[in-house]
Amino acid sequence: MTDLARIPLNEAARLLRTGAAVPADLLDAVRKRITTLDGTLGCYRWLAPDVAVPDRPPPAAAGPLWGMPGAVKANICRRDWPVDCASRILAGWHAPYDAHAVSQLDAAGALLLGTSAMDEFGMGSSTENAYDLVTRNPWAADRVAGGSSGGGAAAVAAGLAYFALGSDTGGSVRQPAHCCGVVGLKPTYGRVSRSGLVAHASSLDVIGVLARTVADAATVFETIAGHDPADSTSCSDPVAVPNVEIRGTRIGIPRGGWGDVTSAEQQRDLDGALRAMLQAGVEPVEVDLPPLDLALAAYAVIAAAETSANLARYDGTHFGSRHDGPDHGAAARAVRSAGFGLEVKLRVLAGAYVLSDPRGGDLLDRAFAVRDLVCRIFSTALELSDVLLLPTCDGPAFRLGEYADDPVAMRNVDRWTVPVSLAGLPALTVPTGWCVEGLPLSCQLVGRSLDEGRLLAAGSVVEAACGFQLPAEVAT
Amino acid sequence: MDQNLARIAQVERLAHLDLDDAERRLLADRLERLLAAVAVLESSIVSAERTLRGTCPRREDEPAEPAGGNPLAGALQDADGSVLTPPPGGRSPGHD
Repeated sequence: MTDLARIPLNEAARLLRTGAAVPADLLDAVRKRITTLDGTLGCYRWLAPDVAVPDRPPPAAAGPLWGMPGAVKANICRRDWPVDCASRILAGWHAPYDAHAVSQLDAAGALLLGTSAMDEFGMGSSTENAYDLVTRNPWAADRVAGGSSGGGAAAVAAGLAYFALGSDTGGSVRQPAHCCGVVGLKPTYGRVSRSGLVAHASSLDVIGVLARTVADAATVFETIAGHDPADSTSCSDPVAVPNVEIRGTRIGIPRGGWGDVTSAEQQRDLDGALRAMLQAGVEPVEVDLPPLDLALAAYAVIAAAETSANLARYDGTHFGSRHDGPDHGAAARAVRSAGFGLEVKLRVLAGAYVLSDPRGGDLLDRAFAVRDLVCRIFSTALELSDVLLLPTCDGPAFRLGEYADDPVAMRNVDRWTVPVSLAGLPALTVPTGWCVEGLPLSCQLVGRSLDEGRLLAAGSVVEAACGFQLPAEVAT
Repeated sequence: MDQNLARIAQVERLAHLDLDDAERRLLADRLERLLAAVAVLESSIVSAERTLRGTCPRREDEPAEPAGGNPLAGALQDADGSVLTPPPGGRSPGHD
């Protein structure tokens, strides 16, 4: 018999609608798996002691998220919850209000279970950079779950939540989705309000969705998207995901194919995804992509500069436990030195270096120029095509600790996702298959700004053609 | 290594951090590797710009980029083409 906690969200919603299950059944099934597995996997940083479970049938107007247990990344505010961003400096801090996305989930009747594990302040690609918790890959205990939204991805994959909210600055939803074998949606920048999302790099940060199917991701996305007066960068465009006819869609593939992808198995899966789309009636078009090394370098500079500015607020005055010192500066240095982990310190230092560049911000100017070029190249590619087909990563999830001492190698993991973030475009990671080591692989679809509908339609085609299934049992 | 340590010392105060010696050495090494990786911005940006502008010429009706470039260009354009601007510094870690 299928475990109730492992079925897709929309299937569980159908059970609630037909009366075949009640929300308490879903919650019990998920909690059972949390009790059994989370000690090994490390998906959750904190679990809410009380979750208000409706004891009535769904109201007539209820949507598919009604009664659905989900997780929220530990950098998205939920009133009175400990939202510590996996950082010692915020240990014990409780959010004073709900993020806009969380309010939307509440209004839809979702049941929020707790905060999911992450890299400190979203800085990392492995969910190893928390001060107190490492998340393991559900399908191989010696592998990372990806990051920085690794806790949410692992929870959704292993049946510890039906969906999860993550945040994506340079790939932090898509890359863990790839590592864990779930769908990851990074909406267009501004589609989802950032109000209540703890800032990492503000011109790049986007709240995204982790789910088991493309349809499930679309359901959550439609719920959380929309304009919010508290975030002036949020869009007012309609958020309904229309049914888009995929036939005749032009799919952009890199000129010369997938030769740049380092894993042969990943190349094979991309070929398979393309074949599936061709059979569904799409037309292939060759396009140019931005130079990945330049885009990565520009991202490193811009993100570090924004990080350095955003994290200046953690000085012991409003956030962080107070330390004694002869003056405010000394006290702030003591708080920050004790509260930030190594990766955060590295990025804050890099940002301070960039912002204090003795050549007058030359490095930052060049990074901005590259960002402009990246936007232009994607713009041209998406004039020639409707959706781009790219890898999410070069290969499967890497080993725990494999890149712990190599910040450049760790950043290279995101080389296919970062350029898309620089351009603010929507992107969808869809699982495609398994490598010989028993780890999932995926493709990344990239759409035009605000064209999530076509992106999700293309994702559904890939999903149906690949027939990807998660294993019955978690590796422990 | 001395040069790296000098660089770290230069920015440590700006970043409001007090590192111990071991941490300073480790971070100096990592910062050096990171900055080496972004040096491509200096070595190849000019030729890349030339090539890429040939591939994607600026449209006639498109205004020239302001000096220094615009970090939000393209990424934050609203449907009507207007550039959206993030809000100024915030009041809480959940509100930037």
